[in-house]
Amino acid sequence: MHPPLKARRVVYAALPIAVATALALGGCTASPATAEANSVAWLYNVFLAAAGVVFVVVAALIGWSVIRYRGQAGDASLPPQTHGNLILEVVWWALPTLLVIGLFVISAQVLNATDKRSPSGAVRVRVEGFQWQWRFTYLDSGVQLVGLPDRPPQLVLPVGEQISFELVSADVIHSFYIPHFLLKRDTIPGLANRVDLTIDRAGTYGGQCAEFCGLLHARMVFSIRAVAPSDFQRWLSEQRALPPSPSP
Amino acid sequence: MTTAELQTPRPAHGEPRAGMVEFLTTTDHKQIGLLYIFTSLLFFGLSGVLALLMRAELTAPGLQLMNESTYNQLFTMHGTGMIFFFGSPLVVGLANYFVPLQIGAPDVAFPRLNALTYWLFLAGGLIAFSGFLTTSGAAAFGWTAYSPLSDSVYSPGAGPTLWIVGVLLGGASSILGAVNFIATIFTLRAPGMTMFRMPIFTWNMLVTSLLIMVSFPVLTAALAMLFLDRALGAHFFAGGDAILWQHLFWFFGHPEVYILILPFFGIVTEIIPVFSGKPVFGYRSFVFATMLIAAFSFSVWAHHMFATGFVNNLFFAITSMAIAIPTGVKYFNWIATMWRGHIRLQTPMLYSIGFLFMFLVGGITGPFLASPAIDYAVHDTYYLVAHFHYVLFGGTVFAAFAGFYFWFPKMTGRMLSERLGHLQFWPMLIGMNMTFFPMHILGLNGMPRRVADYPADAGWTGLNVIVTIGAVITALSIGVFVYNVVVSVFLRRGAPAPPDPWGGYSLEWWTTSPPPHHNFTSLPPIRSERPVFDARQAAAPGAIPDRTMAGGDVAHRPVRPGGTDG
Amino acid sequence: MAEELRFFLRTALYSVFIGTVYWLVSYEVAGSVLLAFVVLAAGSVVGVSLVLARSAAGEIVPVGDGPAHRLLGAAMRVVGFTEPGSPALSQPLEARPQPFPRSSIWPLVAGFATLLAGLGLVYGPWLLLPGIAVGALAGWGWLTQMDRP
Repeated sequence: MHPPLKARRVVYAALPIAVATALALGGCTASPATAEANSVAWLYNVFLAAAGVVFVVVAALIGWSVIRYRGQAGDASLPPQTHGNLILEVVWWALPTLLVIGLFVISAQVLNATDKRSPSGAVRVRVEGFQWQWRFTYLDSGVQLVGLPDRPPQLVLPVGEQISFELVSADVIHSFYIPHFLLKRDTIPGLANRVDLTIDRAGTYGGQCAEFCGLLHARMVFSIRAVAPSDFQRWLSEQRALPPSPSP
Repeated sequence: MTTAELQTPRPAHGEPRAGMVEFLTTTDHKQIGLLYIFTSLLFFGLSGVLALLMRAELTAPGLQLMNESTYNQLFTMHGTGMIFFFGSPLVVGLANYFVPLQIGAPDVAFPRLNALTYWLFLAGGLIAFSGFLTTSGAAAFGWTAYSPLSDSVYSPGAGPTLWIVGVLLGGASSILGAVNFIATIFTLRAPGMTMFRMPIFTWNMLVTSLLIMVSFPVLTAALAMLFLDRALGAHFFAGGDAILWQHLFWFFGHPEVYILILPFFGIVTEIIPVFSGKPVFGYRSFVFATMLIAAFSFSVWAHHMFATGFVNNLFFAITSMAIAIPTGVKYFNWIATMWRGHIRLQTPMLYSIGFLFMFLVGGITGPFLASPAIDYAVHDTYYLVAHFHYVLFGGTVFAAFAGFYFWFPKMTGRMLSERLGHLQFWPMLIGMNMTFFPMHILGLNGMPRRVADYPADAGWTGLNVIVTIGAVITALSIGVFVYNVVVSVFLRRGAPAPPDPWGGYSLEWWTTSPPPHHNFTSLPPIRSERPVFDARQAAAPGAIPDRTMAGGDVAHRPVRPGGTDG
Repeated sequence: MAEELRFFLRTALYSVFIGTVYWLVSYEVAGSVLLAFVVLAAGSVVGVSLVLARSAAGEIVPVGDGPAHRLLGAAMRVVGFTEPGSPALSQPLEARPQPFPRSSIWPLVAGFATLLAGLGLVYGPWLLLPGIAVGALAGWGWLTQMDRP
């Protein structure tokens, strides 16, 4: 009727260990590519460590209770009828409270860093979401890139310079999301959003709309190529020489 | 062991096959509860099939089985079905059956209103899902129906309007049900059943009913405004304030999450003490934690809106994280209840322990999402999908199965097979983790939710295959449950259930299985939150009934105290 | 009724508290609207409680020495977690009146009417009007049902 007791004990003991291992292996964020993303990744890792400790302790307590206090067949005696313990309960109201306060304080610090606004970025880009692609406009030079569902645009940006994104929408709500920047921000019709960041690693990073926006939401992909500032200036002047791309 | 030895008297009322007309006109809370549970499980199966279709499509990059339009309808109706037409009605169904029994009442306070709520829920579900039959298809804007996408310009056709009307009716049904439960709990408790002697499930249903009464009217108003936007060209949301909808929706939506979990906390808190042979540890602490969770749930709504950039992120971060405190306290209380007990690993307890582990995973990913900077990274990705499926599947569904196995004998008069219960548990646990754990990694690597397709070079294919296999294993385990129920009840092969198969504590175990029309012919004295336990101790002090083996193997029947105690 | 009333009073107190905090820290109209409605709701709860408390004098507002003591006592008991004792012994249920109808067709009819009217909201008055008519019939039947012996 039941699997053998020993096998079950092994299963109960192995379960928390397996999950904790999986958490540790699979729990890391995409590798951060901006200065802000580095602090978010640090915050994530602190949370992950706290979560790991909480998980292991609580899962071990549950597993131990189930294994150690498993009733024996034929034992009809009544276990001690404890209704509560004031000191214990005060302790375990206090423990999570302290943990939450700690996590909140570091969250607030990192949030201040990621939400920081500078007077004006070195490069200003307007990001406009529409159904179902993106229109990127370099506000200082007027260069415009427009994507189509089957022809995603590539935004070229300089490494090491402050970039300001101005986020607007032409129709419904979209969300400007770059996994390696550990960042997303909604583009909302009628409201302008702003995000400042500094890329600190050259490379090509995929991005995608993250707020469901209708039929071809899955095709709202784009990419960002981060290059040295001199390469960026050269690219920008090349673009300015081209005729403006057709509007969809 | 055999049927003949037990000689359970055939219950006068509650024959397994009540006539069709009786079910259509019934005002008995037990039959309405059964209707609710059965119908909500049908919606669970339907929404589950939609999920399997989505998983089939996502197994490989490219569109193989359906186009984007179909996929978008599938995830919209999967979420709608699971939240509005499975989760909430299941809560109402279980509460319908067991709240009156647990407080020693003959019925709910407003029996005909109770019947009406069921028919409103059924009408709502049929209307919402009938969108699939229209030419333009069902609603395809997600169960959150964000404006302005849900406006008639971006989502034309009858399907979305049917969705609005259907959900509105389902919500109205919940509001009426909540009024009924609060009135029942406040006015129909048996003599001696003070508020602080009520079983925790009843307490949690009381708090849940309050949540429904405060949150669902906001949804109803928002849906009415959305309807006016679509039908009459009003400009509340589209052309008006684009994120007002999100404020209203999540002011309902976050308490709704607790509506879907608090009753199931209650079920687990009923089961763990019974199968540990101990009282619940820290009864008042439990009640206070439930109230605190409910209170906090009304001040956290905009943590769903961190990425909009137009809410006070720090305010909602601290209130959201604070919810971890009362939830953590509940965990310590559950562990302390099991500590030094005599734990019997029968199916209800097995599923409760599964709940403890799985909800723990969902619970500790909560604070990640409550921290705005981390939320910027993982919001609206598969990380979020993983989080709330650990909460709603690992939490709600595991606890629901614990409740089914616990209360099934009471509701039907027949036991479910313990062997099949174990056979269902392990595949469900493994399948669930295979389905939802890889989603964390997919989300961290940037796979957004609600996409019909993903690039082949993104490196997400392998994990998606694992997820799909896990979903199939989970579905098969649910099939084992269906088989178990069919064999036990419809083929009448389940062992007849005694009044108290588990050595229960609360009043529902005092009466026959299933209970007679007005529930009780007698009541034990109610001097604590465990009246049936007290009565059993008064009859045979210091012993728990030996029920370490499976259902049907019952050596003991509850003692009805005679003149000495009654 | 003491704990039952406190259940609502605690809700009202918390709502006003969190509504005020949110109003102070938010920078949007939603905060003001929330606060206004929360105060309205809490006010009605307190009003009803006062009416009920008068009929159950002493259960909600404790009798104390001075006004400060009374105020403190009242606050303590509103948020407090105590419940006055109740009679422990139960009476047999048969003795209690049971005004519960055994069955009724009208909830089903009302539900059907809502189905028609709901579809009518989407598809037009040819469904909406029959829905309202059947709904009226259900209401009439519902209200008159309990009059019959």
